[in-house]
Amino acid sequence: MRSIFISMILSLSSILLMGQVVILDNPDFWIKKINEKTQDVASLQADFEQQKLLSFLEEPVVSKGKFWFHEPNQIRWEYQYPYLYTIIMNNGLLTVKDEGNEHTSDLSSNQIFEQMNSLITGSIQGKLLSDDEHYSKKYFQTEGRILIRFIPKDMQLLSYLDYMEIGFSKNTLEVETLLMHEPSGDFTKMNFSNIIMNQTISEDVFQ
Amino acid sequence: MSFNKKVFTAWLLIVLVIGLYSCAPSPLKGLEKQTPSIDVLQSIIHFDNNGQANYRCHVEAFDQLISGMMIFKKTELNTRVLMMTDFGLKVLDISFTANGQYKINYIMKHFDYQFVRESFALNILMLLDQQISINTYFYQKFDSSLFYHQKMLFFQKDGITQKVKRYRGKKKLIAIVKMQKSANIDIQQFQPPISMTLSPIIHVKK
Repeated sequence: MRSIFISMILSLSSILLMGQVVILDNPDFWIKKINEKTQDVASLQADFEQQKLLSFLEEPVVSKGKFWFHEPNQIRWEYQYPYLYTIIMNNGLLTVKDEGNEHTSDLSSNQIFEQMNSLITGSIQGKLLSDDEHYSKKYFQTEGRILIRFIPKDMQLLSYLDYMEIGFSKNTLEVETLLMHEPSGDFTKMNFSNIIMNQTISEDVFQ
Repeated sequence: MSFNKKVFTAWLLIVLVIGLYSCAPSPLKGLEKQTPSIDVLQSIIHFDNNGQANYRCHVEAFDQLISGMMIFKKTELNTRVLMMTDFGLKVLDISFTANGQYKINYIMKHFDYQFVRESFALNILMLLDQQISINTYFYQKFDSSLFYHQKMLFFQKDGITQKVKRYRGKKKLIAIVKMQKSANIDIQQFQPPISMTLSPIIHVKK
């Protein structure tokens, strides 16, 4: 009974976080527009807020920081709250900086990071939109966003994410939200703000 | 016949003595057992008023490096422990009851092997409350207290657990927990090698 109640609360929280969600009638129109926008993304920087909703906690676990991306696959996640922590993925290498310690390893040896890396770069550059081999898709909208739900076909990925949902702004066509939904009903939502596209990013950022 | 009976009795006594001696926890040889003065060995984890504790977490296991957060939540019935990556992906979710039983609610497919599940669960169990029972051995050594409970040896000083060792059987040391001065917790399992470091997060809530 308690778990049903918690599931209802989680679902309600999910709806409140995402606004009124309805089926998108004309997905081809929007995909074309999003593709036109994302194919020109050479670099991106943004602030992010990450919320993790867990069934057994009353409040979400919140993290905040800054994000940088440069094509083809350079990424920097800089967590600034509640702790300082940096993850850099650069040309196949994964560097983690934490409390003065630095650890570099081959990205391919860390399946979880590698999978996350391809998901994030794929969503920024719009490559996921055309990836029919690995994902089936469903389309929704809210008042201000196009939501594209990616359902993994890979059984391993499906075992820990039953779907991901990317929210594109209807106005700017930029990625504003990334939702990772787990089979248990728990989910992680990332909100991106202060997005700056195609501005020169120093190579030092990815070192 | 009488001789045989004496020999048999002597042999039985020797076997009994050896048997009883070998049943004693090996690490505590030479120490005198005492009566525990407490009911519960307090958890190493620093819970807040809501029964929650959040830790930064680094795990190195099976050529995988995972960093993220470990959340401990106490309820009336159990302690729930969840580990997730920095990106929020759930890695592990275990419920522990007061009597040391555990239930794996979730484990990421990469780690879903029986010995891995058991390793994570038993290592985390070393950090939680332990109910003193008739199977708990208590010893005093200089200014330290030693508790042997569920194949784990707890070293306490001034009522605070500073080190825990986990054994398989009576002798084989499997894992060790060390408390650092910074309140960080290091867990080292030897075989298979698993290393976990936990650092308390003070300001996790907005």
